[in-house]
Amino acid sequence: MRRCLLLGILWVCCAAAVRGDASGATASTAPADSAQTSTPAPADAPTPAVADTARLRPDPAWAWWRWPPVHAAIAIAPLDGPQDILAKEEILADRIDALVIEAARLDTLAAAWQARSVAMTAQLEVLEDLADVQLGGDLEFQQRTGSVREEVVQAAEQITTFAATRTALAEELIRLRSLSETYRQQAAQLREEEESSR
Amino acid sequence: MTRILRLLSAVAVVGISVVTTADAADDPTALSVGGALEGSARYNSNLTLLSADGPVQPKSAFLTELNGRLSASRTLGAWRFDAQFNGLANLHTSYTDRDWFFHRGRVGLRRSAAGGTVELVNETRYYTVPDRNTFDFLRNVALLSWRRKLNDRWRLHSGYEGIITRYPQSPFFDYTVHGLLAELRTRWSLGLTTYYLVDLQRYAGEAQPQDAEAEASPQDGNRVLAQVGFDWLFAGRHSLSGTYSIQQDEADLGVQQIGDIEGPDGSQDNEAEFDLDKQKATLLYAVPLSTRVLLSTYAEWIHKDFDDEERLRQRLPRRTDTLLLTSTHLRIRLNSDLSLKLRYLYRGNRSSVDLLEYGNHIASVGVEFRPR
Repeated sequence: MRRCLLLGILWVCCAAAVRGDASGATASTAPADSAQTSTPAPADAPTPAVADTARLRPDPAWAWWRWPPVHAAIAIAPLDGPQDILAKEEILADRIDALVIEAARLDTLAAAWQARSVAMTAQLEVLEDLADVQLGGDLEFQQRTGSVREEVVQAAEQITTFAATRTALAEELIRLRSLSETYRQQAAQLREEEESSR
Repeated sequence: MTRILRLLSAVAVVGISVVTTADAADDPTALSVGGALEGSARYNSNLTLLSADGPVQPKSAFLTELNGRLSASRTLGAWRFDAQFNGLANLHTSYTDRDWFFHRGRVGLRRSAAGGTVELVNETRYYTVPDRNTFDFLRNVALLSWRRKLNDRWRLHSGYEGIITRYPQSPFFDYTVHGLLAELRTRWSLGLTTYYLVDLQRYAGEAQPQDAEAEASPQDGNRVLAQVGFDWLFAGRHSLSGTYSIQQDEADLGVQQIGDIEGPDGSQDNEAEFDLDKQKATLLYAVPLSTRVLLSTYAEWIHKDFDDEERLRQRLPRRTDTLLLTSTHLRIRLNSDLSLKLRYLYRGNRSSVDLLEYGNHIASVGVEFRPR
């Protein structure tokens, strides 16, 4: 019995050692991949609070927040004229468009996860009913129920992540649209000043 | 009178589970407690009971079943704790006055570790037929496992399992199992997952040499199981799951099977079987027809080929069983707390041993109270 217990512990330890830090690698590469495949449009710098959230949650759902920051590219210099400001506003508009596309993609994924959550919850309910009539079922059945239970938890976590990223993205869109509007007004104001000075 | 007392105690247990029901709000660290109470009436067209001399002539029977469930879960720091308790009373209202009771308790503890999730699950089952204790049993399963996401598609689940089965009135049936399992899960898309499981077990019977005269569980044996399966969510809310498994069991001479031939209602599989080759296929389909109605159907096919050295020596037919079970279940939510449950189940066995053949239709109607 002791030998079997030892074998069991060894099995778990070996399995742990085989893959090293695979999940960590996945977590760190996922955003990079997303950044490469996503439109590398310039944008304003993220607010510190959301940037921290993104760092804490290396989920692909937060990929948009790790797009290359382009705040330097849209920073208004003292000698910028209306055309320069409008050119920077164009950059902002591109980022807004990219974020709108990302928001739509996230909405589609969130809806798919929502449907998955409903179906998995129903499946878990059915399995628990079945467990009652099977007096618990065999070990494989218990494994299966355990896996579905974990899938339900995972789906709930994923839906929460999507809700959080979607809220942050909506706030970011409001901020960028406001900034874009400010740039347009500033460019118009400068143009008026230039025309009046002539 | 004794029967009434037992019934009242069963109701009390499930009653407590419902009274203690509470719901955790959105706070995931809060203690979440839930409970359910179910009462159902059941008709079995062909109930077979075991007596000391073997199975008695099957008859149709009506039964009342009470089922209580209590569950709790909580996150404490990095640990996730969850527990379930299930108490079942099966009360016969005709044919026999022998009721049976079943209790199942499960405790799970898990946390993130070694780049994955480590989980310790312990489940204890106790089955008893008061006044007739031959096949009362206590079964404890402990599973220490580790799940890890290898990449976006593959997941590994491996672990150690320890199963202790005790028959308080028949200790020569006692046996203990140690095993290792490894499962790979592949997620092909958000809706389709396949998995591949290998389970290696070694078991040892606790029978003493003086029990040799009696039929006892095998003193030594091993079991290999390979299983493939899938979970498919399609067309939005339909789910279909299937498994196919092959099991090979090699054991010393001993009993081939412990307990009721037919096993529990919902499955004809029996883990207390030895020295056989077994194939099993299952299909489970579930669909919420509306927000109130959930339909599910389950089918199970099992083929068992026992290694009957004794039988062959006595020129008796080799024991081969082919079992089929199909079940359709409809759950209708009457309101947020109350559900109506309808189930029809067919189960049968075609065996090379005439005595072991059966076929029953089981229909049940139940009401479940689950405060939400």
